[in-house]
Amino acid sequence: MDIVEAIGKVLLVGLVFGAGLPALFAVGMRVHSLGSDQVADEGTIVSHGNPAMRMLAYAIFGLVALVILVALLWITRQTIYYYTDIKLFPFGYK
Amino acid sequence: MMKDMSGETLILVLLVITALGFDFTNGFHDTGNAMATSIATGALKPKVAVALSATLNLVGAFLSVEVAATITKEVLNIQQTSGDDAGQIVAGLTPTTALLIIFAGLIGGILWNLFTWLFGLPSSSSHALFGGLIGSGIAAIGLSGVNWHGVFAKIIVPALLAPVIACVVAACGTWLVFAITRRIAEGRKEQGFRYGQIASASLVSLAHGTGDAQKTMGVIAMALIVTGHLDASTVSHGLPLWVVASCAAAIAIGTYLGGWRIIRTLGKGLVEISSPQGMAAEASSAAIILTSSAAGMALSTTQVATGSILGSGVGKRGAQVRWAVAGRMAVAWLTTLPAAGLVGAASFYIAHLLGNVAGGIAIFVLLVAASAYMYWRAQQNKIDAGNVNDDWDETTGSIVPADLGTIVPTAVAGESASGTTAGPTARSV
Repeated sequence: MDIVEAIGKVLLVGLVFGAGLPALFAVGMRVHSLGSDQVADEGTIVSHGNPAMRMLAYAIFGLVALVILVALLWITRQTIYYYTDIKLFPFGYK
Repeated sequence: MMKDMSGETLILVLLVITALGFDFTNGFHDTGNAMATSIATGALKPKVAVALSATLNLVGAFLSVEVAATITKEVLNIQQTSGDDAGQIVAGLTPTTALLIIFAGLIGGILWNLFTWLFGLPSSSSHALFGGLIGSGIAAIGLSGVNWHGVFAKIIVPALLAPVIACVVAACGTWLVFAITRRIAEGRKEQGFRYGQIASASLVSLAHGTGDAQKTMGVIAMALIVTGHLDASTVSHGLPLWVVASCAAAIAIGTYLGGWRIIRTLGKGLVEISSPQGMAAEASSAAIILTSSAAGMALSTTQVATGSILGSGVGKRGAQVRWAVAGRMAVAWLTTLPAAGLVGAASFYIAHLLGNVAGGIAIFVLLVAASAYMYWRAQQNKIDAGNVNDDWDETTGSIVPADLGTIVPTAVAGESASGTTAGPTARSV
């Protein structure tokens, strides 16, 4: 049942990162939109945005960037280990 | 003896050239997996997208440090898999025969890659290579030469599951994204998600470079070990620079030249894709590709990417999914192993029939001829950066855009035959 276990892992981790990351990004976009100026069709500003909301949005985007950075380190983990002997993750090494 | 040695060396040289050729076809076949969605939504201009993907594939290929020289153990029983002799061929096989098996297998892989490219069908390059090897292995040493357990557990089962898992993950991601951003203005949504698309597509390209170039490096390393030009024990400390550099260059150039026919099918043919769907699809692909290789179950990047794109269509209410195109793809996937296998087996028989050196040269010539023919056929209705995003022709369902048709007189009497461009043309694609 090795295969079943592997499949389960891939599906779970895939959902968390593959579906979760775009969702997180979408949340960031939603928050940013809530914190932005509301502009009427003619271009007049109806209400000013909330800078605190926008800061929150940037923080969320920052988190997304961090996850992408971790993904990059994951892709290159073997190479890093080969050249520097540093194991960045507790598993996944040949 | 001398004649044997130089004959063997000639086959080795042809094999290396062919392996690089396979790497090249692997490159353009898989560009679409990462970049089709970004090109289709305009997140990246076509040429920029392939340049970015090529660069990342190049970097990824150079990052591959621990390449397996026992690459064939997944499908064949022709190499020692462990111990001091790891990488050496098993007793009972001459180096020349082993070389011919690999050579014929590569030919099977290349020709299938070209065939599917001609029809704009994304199909797994890994499966094409493995299929070719299985075919030539059976032709050379019979059914016992095949590692059936490996084939089933590592290739067939994952192949059945990859598109399903990818579809599920991408569908969830897409559904979530649309639910969360329902209130946001369309323009802002498209713009924001384009950045996300570029990031996720880049990850897929990098993952592809680190994973796929290794295949060819492993094949070349194996050929070198078998003919005594490389010591098996040094492989784990890194391969000769020329092997790494040539494989990296081959896959990068292939990626840059960009399999536009396949990009078109993935980006326009399957699903009419918008920015948020594109990001969800590529993020899903990236996550699954990276997770599965860590879990020791290397899934085909093509099948994952296609499944993800389908899933992004499924996840969005009202999105148009062309199941007929998906069906054609599924047929191509199911026939990959047997078809490549047949070509691999045939190549081995021809080589064996004519005698080793003459046979090797003969199948190389056949490979070049067949490749040239398919390339020529493709040029008859050329898809490139200029028309890759043209509207999909719903009536024919072929990759050829409707207005690429030549002037064809219509069959209906009474209609002017003075040069109306016909939609469904009579060409067979």
